[in-house]
Amino acid sequence: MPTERDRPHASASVEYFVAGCFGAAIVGAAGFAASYWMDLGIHYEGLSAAVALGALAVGLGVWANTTLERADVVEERGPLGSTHEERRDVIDGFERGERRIQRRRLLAGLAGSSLVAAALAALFPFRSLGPRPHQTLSRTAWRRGTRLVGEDGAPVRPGDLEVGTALTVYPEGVSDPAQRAAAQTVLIDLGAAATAAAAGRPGWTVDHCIAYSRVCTHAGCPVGVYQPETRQLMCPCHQSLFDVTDGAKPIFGPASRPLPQLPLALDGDGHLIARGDFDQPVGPGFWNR
Amino acid sequence: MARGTDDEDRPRPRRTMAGRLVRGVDDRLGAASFTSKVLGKVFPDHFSFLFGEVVLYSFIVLVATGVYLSLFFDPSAHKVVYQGSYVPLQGQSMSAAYASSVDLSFDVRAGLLFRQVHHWAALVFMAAIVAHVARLFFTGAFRKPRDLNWYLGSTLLLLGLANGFAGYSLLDDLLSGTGLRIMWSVILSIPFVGPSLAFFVFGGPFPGEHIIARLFIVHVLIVPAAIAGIIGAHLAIVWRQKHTQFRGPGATEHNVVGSRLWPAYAARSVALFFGVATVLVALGAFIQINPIWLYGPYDPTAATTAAQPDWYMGWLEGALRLMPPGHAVVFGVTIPNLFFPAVVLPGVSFMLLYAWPVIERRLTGDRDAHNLLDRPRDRPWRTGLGAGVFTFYTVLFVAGGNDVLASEMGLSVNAIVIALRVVLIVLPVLVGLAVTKWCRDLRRADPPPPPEGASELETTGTTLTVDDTG
Amino acid sequence: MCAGTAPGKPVGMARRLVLGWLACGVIICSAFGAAHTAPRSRSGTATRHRTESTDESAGRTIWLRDCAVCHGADARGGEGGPDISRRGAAAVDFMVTTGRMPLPSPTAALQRRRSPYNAAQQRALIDYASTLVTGPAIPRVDIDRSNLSHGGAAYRQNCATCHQSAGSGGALAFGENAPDLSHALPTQVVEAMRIGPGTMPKFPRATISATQADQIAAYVQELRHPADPGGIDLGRLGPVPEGLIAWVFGLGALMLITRLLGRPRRSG
Repeated sequence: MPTERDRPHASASVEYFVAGCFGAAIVGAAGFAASYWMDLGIHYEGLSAAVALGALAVGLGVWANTTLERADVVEERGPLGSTHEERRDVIDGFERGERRIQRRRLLAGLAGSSLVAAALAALFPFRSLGPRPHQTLSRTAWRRGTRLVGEDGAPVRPGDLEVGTALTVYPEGVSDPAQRAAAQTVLIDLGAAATAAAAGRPGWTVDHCIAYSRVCTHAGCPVGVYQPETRQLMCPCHQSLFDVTDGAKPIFGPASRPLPQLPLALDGDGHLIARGDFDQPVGPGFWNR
Repeated sequence: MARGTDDEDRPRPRRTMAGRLVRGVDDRLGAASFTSKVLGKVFPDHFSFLFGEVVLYSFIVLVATGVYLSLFFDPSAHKVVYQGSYVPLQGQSMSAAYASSVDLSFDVRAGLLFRQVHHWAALVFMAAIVAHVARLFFTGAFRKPRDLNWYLGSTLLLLGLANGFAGYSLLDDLLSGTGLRIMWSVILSIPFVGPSLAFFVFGGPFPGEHIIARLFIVHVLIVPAAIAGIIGAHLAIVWRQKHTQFRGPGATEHNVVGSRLWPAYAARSVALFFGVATVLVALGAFIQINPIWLYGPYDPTAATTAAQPDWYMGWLEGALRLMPPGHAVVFGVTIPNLFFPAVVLPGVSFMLLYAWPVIERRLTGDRDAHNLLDRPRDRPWRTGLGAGVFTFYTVLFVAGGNDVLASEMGLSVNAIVIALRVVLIVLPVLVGLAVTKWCRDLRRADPPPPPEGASELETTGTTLTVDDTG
Repeated sequence: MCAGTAPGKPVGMARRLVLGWLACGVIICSAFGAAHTAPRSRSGTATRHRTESTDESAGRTIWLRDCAVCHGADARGGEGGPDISRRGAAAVDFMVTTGRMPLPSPTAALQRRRSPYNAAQQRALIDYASTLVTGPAIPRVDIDRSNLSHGGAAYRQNCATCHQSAGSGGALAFGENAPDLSHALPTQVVEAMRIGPGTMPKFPRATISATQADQIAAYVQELRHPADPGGIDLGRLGPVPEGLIAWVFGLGALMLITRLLGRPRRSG
């Protein structure tokens, strides 16, 4: 049952087509060089390159599928495993050597120990990769009396906010990115709802203002979404929701701990200050927090 | 050696270029007999056998484009002030890594093309690995003696995930920085060693100044070298064991029916390489990917919604989002919520993936070597199980985009999360059962596959050539 | 490519595969493209009123006809709607020019719509309603002399968390949405900051200065038509559509290529 593929020679038209493809590939390559040289931009560069590569693909593919192979070929697999004797030889050879090593117990043991010692010693330099955490994860840069400042470094008064405003604040004078990342705090003007929110912790809020860590207790993203209608904070990464009027307890999503709260007070000039660090370690959990 | 077809294939006298080359090499390496086996090697033909080659060729495109990118990329967290040609970022302080990536996109001629092709190649590389794994699973190609290659391939999948994550995290834009922040938290969640390990990896508290440079060497040297080595070993094993084939006329457990490497299969394979390169270059030329200039430089106090990882990490992202709240406290040791979806789930997933050949061997008691493939319908329970598992990870992947889904379709994120928590458990079971039944029905309607060896070669005419060099 | 040479059945299958694949691609592209280029929803229920008169009485007429029903003739609210007498002219201007008000029905969502009024009618209504309310005035926004780069930084700091870094909008809790900003005019952007419409928090001057507000408005304008090379933007929604494209156009195309290259077994 001869098909066209089985004929000794593919028709001339196929060969013309393949030749045309290779010609097109040359044109595409030249086009890429030209479009690069003339700085024509990504579309021309990419199009010409794709034409060159695509023409090669089509040309080779048609050539391969029409003229190069005309029939199925059968190859015997042969046994994969070796013969019994060959395996025996390997085992015997290994065991002969092993016996010679075992005759010098002390030497063999010392050789093994020295290899282990060298490997263990090689692990020590990895200690340089990073410092130990110590208290870094449990404490932030907030201290008693630190002023709350905005992104621009200006101190904040309660009157700067309006009901429904959430402002990102930092401890004054802290510029280290890691410290700022850990200490970022959201300051929210809750209006009349602040009274209820402060019920459990008298003296932690000032003039309707309440402050929570802005680092999500789930995976550490900034809890940047404040929805004043529902007084909820949402994390944009995994959609955990925190109830600002109830100690920022998580009410939806994977977060399992409330956002730590920052105790607030006023200094002599009427600026907001912290009365100390957060009540809990900020951010995602770890085993000994 | 019996050659039935053509006279022009007969060895020519030594005056040709090939003749001189062969003599020159063989005098020094004695490689002639091996090379002649190489040229005559037979590969079975089925389109699904080419998925692995798509992986290989995507990797080649990745290396080629990646080398070019590395000539311009500055893997440093050092702060610089951007002075390039993209106006909305001019004058901003940012890491040298981000600034050089923006420069690659705007101020290096053809740089954006290479960036985009590289990124598309990474996405397609991972997709091709998944397609390849699926083909191997559903046809039983992982059975002895190819369980060995299954382990190597699983490692390749793992390394691909790691290198993809490392790669897009290098750019230090707002999206990738958010991903690194989550990775920090995941490492932190590991009991006992978490905090110390996180400080080791990042060189101090997040974000630190070392992670970009460390990820760079991981991304461009350590993991690619491992991937290249594994691909090499993988191919050597395929070579040694010879490829599997489907049942069909002439195909038995003891032979391979297909095309010779030289010239047909080689030409086809090279054509496929150019096909892969064409698709990747075309994607890079016309579809924007990862427009980091719109995301802005990373700042640990900024965040953006629609914060997703690349697709192959999407299942983990989805697991994080679907995980119900709560954490465990065992003997005073807190195990954070994050630990379960981000460490336990991938750990168990990969353990099961690695162990599958052993598990199936235990379940079926089938310890024989297999060179003939199953059709998916031939093993209804395996196919059903596989379909259920793929459904599970697909649901997780969908959950990873729940906020995009919600805002594009006008749904509630919360409703989607609650619904998907149920779907994640129920749908894989339903799909698994339905597919199992479907396979049974198909098999019932289908004549059973001929027992092995029953169909002998029809050696009439010139359609078949018997080659005994194997 | 090898259509003329291979047996008939696989080619038919290949052709069907190609068609199905193209259809998938077109659907994904148009879904994300449409999401980005077209306004989210344009309700057709609000009828267009054509009143040519633009004097103060026209504004009063519209107010009494379309607004007073809910907000009361004096803007102090009624049974159907809230007291807006202290929301300021900025809120009136924002609600009317973005088409959020009037609502087509009392239960409709507060979102951008095509306004039933023409420009003159809008002006007249805003002028009249502004006399009824106190509060933030309509801001003067100058984006031409604003630093885009500072605006971008402030945008990412304050806005991207809801509206997405490229202004494509995003999902909030319980079905709320931060809208896509591709239609927001500079004045509307600053008004929204000052009044906090819907679920959006307020950003008073003490937290975002007038200069900064102008810069953000300028950056939002930039995001509408950014210098954005690289090709089709997939709605600027990040890795989700990119992954879909990689599967459908990337691996999909390559599966077709393997289908065409991988020789079917011949039946001997």
